[in-house]
Amino acid sequence: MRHLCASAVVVVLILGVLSPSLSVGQSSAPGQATSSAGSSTPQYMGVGSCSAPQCHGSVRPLTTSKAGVRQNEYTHWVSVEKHARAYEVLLKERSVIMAKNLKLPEPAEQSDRCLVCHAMHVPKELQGQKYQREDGVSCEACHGPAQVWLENHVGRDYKDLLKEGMYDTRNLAKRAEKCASCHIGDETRNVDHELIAAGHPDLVFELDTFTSILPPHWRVAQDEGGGKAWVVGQAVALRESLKRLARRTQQQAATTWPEFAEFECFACHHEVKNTKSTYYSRGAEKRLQPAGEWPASWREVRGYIGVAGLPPWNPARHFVFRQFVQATAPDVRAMLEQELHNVDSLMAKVGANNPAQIAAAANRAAQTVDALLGRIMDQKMEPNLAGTLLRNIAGDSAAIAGAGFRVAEQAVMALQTFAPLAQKDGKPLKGDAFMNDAIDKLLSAVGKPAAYNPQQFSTQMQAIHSFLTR
Amino acid sequence: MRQLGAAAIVVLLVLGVLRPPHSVGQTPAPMASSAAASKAAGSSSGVQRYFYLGGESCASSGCHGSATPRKASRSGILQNEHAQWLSKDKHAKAYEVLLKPRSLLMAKNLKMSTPPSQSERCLVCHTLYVPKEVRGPTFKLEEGVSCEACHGQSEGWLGLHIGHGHTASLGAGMYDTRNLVKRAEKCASCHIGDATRNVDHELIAAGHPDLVFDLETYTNLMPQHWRTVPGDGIGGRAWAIGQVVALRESLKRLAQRTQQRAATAWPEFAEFECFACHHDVNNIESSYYRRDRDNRLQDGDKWDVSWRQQRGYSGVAGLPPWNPARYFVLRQVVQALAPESRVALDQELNTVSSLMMQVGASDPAKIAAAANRAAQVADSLLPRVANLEINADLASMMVRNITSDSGSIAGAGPRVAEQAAMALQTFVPVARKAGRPLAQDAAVAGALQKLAQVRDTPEALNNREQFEHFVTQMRAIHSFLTQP
Repeated sequence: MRHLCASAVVVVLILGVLSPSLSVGQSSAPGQATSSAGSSTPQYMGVGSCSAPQCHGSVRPLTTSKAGVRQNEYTHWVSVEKHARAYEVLLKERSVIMAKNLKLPEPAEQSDRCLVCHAMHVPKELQGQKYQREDGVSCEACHGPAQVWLENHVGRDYKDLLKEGMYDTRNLAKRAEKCASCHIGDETRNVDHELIAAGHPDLVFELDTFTSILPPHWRVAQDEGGGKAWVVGQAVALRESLKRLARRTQQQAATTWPEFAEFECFACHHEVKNTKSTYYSRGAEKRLQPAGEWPASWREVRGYIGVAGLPPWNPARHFVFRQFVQATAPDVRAMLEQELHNVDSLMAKVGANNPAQIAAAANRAAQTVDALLGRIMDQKMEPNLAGTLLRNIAGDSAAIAGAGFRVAEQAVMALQTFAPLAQKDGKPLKGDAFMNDAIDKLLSAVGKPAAYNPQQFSTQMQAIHSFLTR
Repeated sequence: MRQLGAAAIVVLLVLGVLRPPHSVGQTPAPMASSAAASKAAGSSSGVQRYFYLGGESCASSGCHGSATPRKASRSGILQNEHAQWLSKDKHAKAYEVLLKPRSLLMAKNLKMSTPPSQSERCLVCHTLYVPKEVRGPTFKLEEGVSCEACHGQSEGWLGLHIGHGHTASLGAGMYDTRNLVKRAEKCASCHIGDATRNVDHELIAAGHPDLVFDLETYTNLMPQHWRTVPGDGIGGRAWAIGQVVALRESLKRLAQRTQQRAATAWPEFAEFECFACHHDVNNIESSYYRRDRDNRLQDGDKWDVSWRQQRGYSGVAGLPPWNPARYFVLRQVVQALAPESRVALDQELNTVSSLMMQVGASDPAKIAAAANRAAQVADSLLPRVANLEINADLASMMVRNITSDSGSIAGAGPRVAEQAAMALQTFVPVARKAGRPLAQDAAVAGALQKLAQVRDTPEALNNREQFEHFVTQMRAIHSFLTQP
C-alpha cells in the first residue's frame, strides 16, 4: 500500500498539466477572472491536502520507491524552500517601504501586484477548502489545481493525470515556462523598473542553478540534471524575455518608454568617477602646472560597441547562450544574432524607436528561439560538448566581463553547470580542485555588484581557459 | 601715455560687443562650410567683417602682457591680463587638453575620423573656432580659448580701444563682458551649449566631464584677470544672474535637443542628473532568511533598503526627473524676489519634468514647447536680477533658506548639492548675524569648507554616509544662523 501510494505521489510533485485558462502561469488577470471561470474548472485544494505524513508530509525521506517519491516533499518545501516564504516576505519592513514607494493603496500582502507572484493568487471560487493564500508559492502553484486528481493520483497513468489538470513539470521546457512565469514575467506578472526602484530585486533566472538552489524536493532524474536544464532554461528565458519586451512596448508605449528594466541594471547604475580633469594643478599664485594623467574608467578604456552612452538591450539573456547555439546549431546562430541585433539597434534609440517595430523584432527573435528549443530539447549533454562550452565561455572572457555584471553572473552559472560534466585528458572535471577553486573565485567576483571588477573577472576566466586548453 | 593706454585697455578685457554673425557664442553652425559662414557674415548681413587677430596682438608687455601687475589705473587695468590668462587660466589650456591621452581615448570611443585636435566637435569649445576667412595673420587655433573668444574679434577696435571709450569699442565689435548677463551668456555658450556646441551623453560616456556651471564660482576659480571693484556683481548678483541665464539656456538646449535627437535617440540622457541613474545599487539579495547546516531556512537579518528607497520618490519610482540642478537652489532667490514668478516657474518646470519622466513616450514637440515657455519665464526674471543689490539681509535669508532645505537638496542628487554648496560659498561671506559677518564663525567656515568637497567628488554623495554628512553640515550652518 505504501509502495502504491509512493509511486503515485511522485506524480504530484514532478509532473502536472494545467489547462491553459487555469494555469497560474497564464491565467488572465488574477482577481478579475471570477465570472469567466466556469464551475467545471478544478479548484486549488491547498497544501493541507498534500501534507499528511503518509502522503508528502513525512518528516524524514522514506524508502525510495522506483519512482523516486520520498514522501517528505511537503516537509522539505515548507522548511527548505523560499517559495514557502513568498507570502511572509510581503509582511516585512522592506515590502512596507516598497508599498509606500509604489504609492499602493493597500498593504503589499493585499495587493494584486505583489500577490500574483508571492502567493498562489487564484480567484475565490477556485480556492478549495484548505486553500490559504498565506502558504505562498505552494504545491499547486507549480503542479496545477488538484481537485480532480487529488483523491486518485496514486498509481494512475501520468498522461491521464496531465489531462485532469496536473502540470507537466517533468517536461523541462514546461518546467522552465512555469518558473519563467514569475521569474521573468507574463501577461499578469511584471517586475518593472518602478518595482525595482521601489526596492524589489532585479529578476535573474537560470534553471539549472535555481533548481539546485531550491533545492529539489524530488529525486533528480538523470536526463533532467546538469546541462540539459541549463540549455532548456536559457532558451525559454530568452524567448520569454523577448515576449516580455514585445508586451511591454504595447503596455507602456503611451505612458513611459523605454521600460528601463529592459536594460542591464549596471549599464546605467554604475559608478561615475574622475569627473574632474587632473591634467593641471595649481601651484604658487594659482599658476597652472602639469599634474598627473587623468585616469579613464574601465568602461571608457574598453570602449563601446554601439554609440557611447546608449545601453543595449540586456545582453544577459543571450550572451552566454550563444556559445551553445554556436556549438550545436551554427546554422541558427547567424539568424538569431541578426534578429537580436535588430532588437538591440532599436532599443539603443531608447524612446525614439517605434514600439511596434520593437515588438515585431522581439517576436521574430522569440520565434527563432522557440524553433531552436524544439531542436535542443533532445540535445545530449556529452562530456565533449560540455568541454567545448566550458572552453568557449571561458575563452570569451574579455567580452563577457565587459558586457556587464549580469552577463558575468550568467557565465559563472554556466561554468558551474558544465564543469562537473566535462572531462580533461579523459578524466572527469567533477571535483577538480583547480576548477572548484576558480569557480569559487568567480562566484565571489559576482557576489556584490558594487565590488565587481571586470579586469579581475576576465583574468580569472582566462586562468580557467588556459587550464582547460593546457 | 601709459595712463591713456591703460584706461583704454580695460575696455578690451572687461567689456566688448560681438556682432551676431561673428559671435563665438552665437556663430551659425561651424559645421557648415566656413566659406558659406563667412559669406553670410560678410556680405549678406552688410556688417563689416572683422578679423580675429589672435592673442599675440594683445600680448606685448606694454599692453596686456606685463609679467607683473602694473600700478592700477583708475579704470583698473593691470596690464598683466594676457600673462594671467596664459599662466593661470584653464582656458589657455583648452586646446592642449585635446592632445592628451584621455582625449585620444574619447576620439576612439566616439569613432571620430579625425583626432580631437582637428575635430570640429571638440574645437568649437576648446578653441576660438572661427572660419579661416576671418582669422588674421597672427591668429593661432592652438591658443585655445583666447582673448577674442570672450572679448570679440579685435580688428575693429584694436586701435580704437585705447582712449576712445567703451561704447566706441562695443560699436566696433567688442563683446560687452562688463554686462553680467552678456558675460553669463558668453560662458554658457560653451559651459551649457548653444546651437553648435553640444556636450551630450555620448561625449560624456566617451570620457568628457559633465557640464556644471555657476557664474560666480567659476569667475573666482578662473581666476579673474581683471581688477575686482565694488559693484561688479561678485558677492551674489553674479550668482543670481548666472543661475537665471543657465536655467534659461538649459531649457533652450532641451528644446533644441528634442528637435535634433527625436528621430535618432531620445531622451538625451545628459538631460538627467548624472547620479539619478549612475548610483550604486546594493542589497539586491534578500537577507531575511539564511540557511542552517541542513539547508533549512532560518530567520536572517533585516534586509536593508538604500537611502533612496528610504527617502521615497516624489514622482514615479524609477523614472528620473529633468536635471533639477538648474533651479533647485535658484528657486530660493526667485521666492524671495518675485514670488509670483516662482509659481509660474515651478509650474512650467513641473510640466517639463512630467514630460521628461515619460522618457521616450512623450511628444518631443510638447517638451520643446514647455521648455521654451519655461525659458521665457526665466528670461523675464533677468531684469529683476540684473540690478539686484545683495545686502547682508538678503544674503542671510538665502543662507537660511538653502540650509533649511538640506534634506531635499541632498536627496535631489550630487549636482543639486554642488549647486547649493556654490551658492553658500557665495552668500555666506556677505551674510551677517547680529551685525557680525557669518564667515567669521569657525563652525560656519568649517562646515562651508566641508560642503565644498562635493565639488571635487560629487560621486561621493552617492553614499548614505556622505549624504548624511552633507545634511549635517548644512544643518550646522542653519542652526548657527537661526539660534538666538
